[in-house]
Amino acid sequence: MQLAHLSLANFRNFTRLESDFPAGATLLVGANAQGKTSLLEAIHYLAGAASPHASSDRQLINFLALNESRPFARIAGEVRRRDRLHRVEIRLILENQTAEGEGRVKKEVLINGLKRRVRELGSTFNAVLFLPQDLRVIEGSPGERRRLLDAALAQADPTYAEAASSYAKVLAQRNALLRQLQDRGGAPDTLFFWDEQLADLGSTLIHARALALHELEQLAAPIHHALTRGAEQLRLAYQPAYNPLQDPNGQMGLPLQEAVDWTSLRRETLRSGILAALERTRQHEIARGATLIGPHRDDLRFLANSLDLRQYGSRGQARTALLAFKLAQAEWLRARSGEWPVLLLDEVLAELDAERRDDLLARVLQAQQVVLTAADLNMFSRTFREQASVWRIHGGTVEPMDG
Amino acid sequence: MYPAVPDPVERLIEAFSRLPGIGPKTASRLTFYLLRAPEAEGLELAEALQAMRRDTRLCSTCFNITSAGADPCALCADPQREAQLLCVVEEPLDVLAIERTGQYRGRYHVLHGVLSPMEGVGPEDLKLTELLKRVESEGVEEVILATNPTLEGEATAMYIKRQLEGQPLRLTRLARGLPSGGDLEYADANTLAQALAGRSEM
Repeated sequence: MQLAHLSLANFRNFTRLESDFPAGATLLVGANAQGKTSLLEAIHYLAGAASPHASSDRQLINFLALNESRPFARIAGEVRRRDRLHRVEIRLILENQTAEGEGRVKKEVLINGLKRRVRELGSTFNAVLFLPQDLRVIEGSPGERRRLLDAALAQADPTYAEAASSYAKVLAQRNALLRQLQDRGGAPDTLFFWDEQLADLGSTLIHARALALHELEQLAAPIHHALTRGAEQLRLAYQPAYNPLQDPNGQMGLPLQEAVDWTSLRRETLRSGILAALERTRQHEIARGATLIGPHRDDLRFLANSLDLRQYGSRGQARTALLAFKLAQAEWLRARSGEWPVLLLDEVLAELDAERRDDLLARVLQAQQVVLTAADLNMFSRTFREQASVWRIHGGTVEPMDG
Repeated sequence: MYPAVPDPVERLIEAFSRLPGIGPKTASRLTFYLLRAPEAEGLELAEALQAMRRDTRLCSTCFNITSAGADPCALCADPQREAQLLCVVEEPLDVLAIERTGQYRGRYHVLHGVLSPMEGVGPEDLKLTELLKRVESEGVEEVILATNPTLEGEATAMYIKRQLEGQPLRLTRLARGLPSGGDLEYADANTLAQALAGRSEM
């Protein structure tokens, strides 16, 4: 698929932008802080309205616009998908702004002029974004890695996005109930419904995650193998907090080194397993006032040659692993929807030697559309520059450059 | 600094803005309207408010709103209404909604809320013991659970189901699906999936 046109109003440092985007490769060149990354974020936002790095949607609204009486930002795109044009528009409106600049951001999604839910965006537009600052995800908290996987799944599967948001509501209610039981005691029979829901939605999420991670690993491993010139073998290890293969009285967690095939697990098995586990931990959960079992505590680890990159990886290794994951995600989305998502790659060539750069560029050119940023145009080979549209980005404006 | 408006006016504006759906602007507009309107109009409103508080009760049977002199309420007292059929709803407004269909000839039970641990609402805060008592004493044959199809509404329906297990009665839940006059194309996937699962024989 292709983003044919992008229109921005008050998005980060872009007060206004109207720009056509060609198919194939587009190179955005510009010094730092001119809006290269923001432009990639804007395009990616159309694919799911998810703010990058858990930052608030409020920060996406241009800071000058925040002084207006009704601050808003608008991101709109024309998407070509199977030779049909679709219009996707997201409006962010800051409501009830206080003197301190606090307020709630209301999101409106329109697809072809009709109001839609946020989770329906992924059925119209897909994009995969690589940002160097996402590297910290590899060594960060489990929550950040869950977000990475959840974001990939939410774009590919609207029913996953829905199950995940219902799960979050169930979890909040269940935790509130556990805290009440902890404080005041009482019969835990009101937990019954929330247990069922937790097991129902939880097993859906675990099942989808296990399958997706398995498929992503199959795709990422050869990419990673090529990026490291055969020196490293990448594994994506799922670490579910509720481990269906574990002896109930046994130790917590599996040794990472052991490759586990989760894909043969049936959802119903997971469901009844979670219910049984909740039964076993009932008193413990009430004592702690929190839900201790379920996909909200899952982790996934990136392993290179069996070494956990969270603990032992170098910066370069983390970068390559994340890049392989993102490129695999693109192929994965393509396999599911039949069309390449738009690739958005920020400073992707940094820290790679010339040979690997050429490999990588050849690979990303397979996609229908790829937008890359660079502070230094000379990172790109002459042949690549000749194939690409080269644009200069400066102070929130974009214009073609003789390349 | 002088107050911009006298205290009694300020007080009424505040009272209005506590009402649902009314912000500070509408509250001021309503207040200044009443300030200028004939005195009788303001007093009529005040009287109506007082009478509403003074002359209404919850029906001791179904817990719907009823006038002070009429307990049990007109619905519960109506011999034409089938006592074997009991429809359980969250709020008095839901009774109104179902009555508007003109299709229901049974009785009601108003829970006054739904289970929501986050808001501190547990079974003891709803009219649940009263419901169980009615089911046992009134010869109810079918209980229709008409709580909203939200997470909390489902939780409440499921809780009631568990409480009524083993009783010799039929337990039903309102169907979910497409709105009439609706368009398949515009239905969200979840609603459509539910409509498909709950499809009926023609």
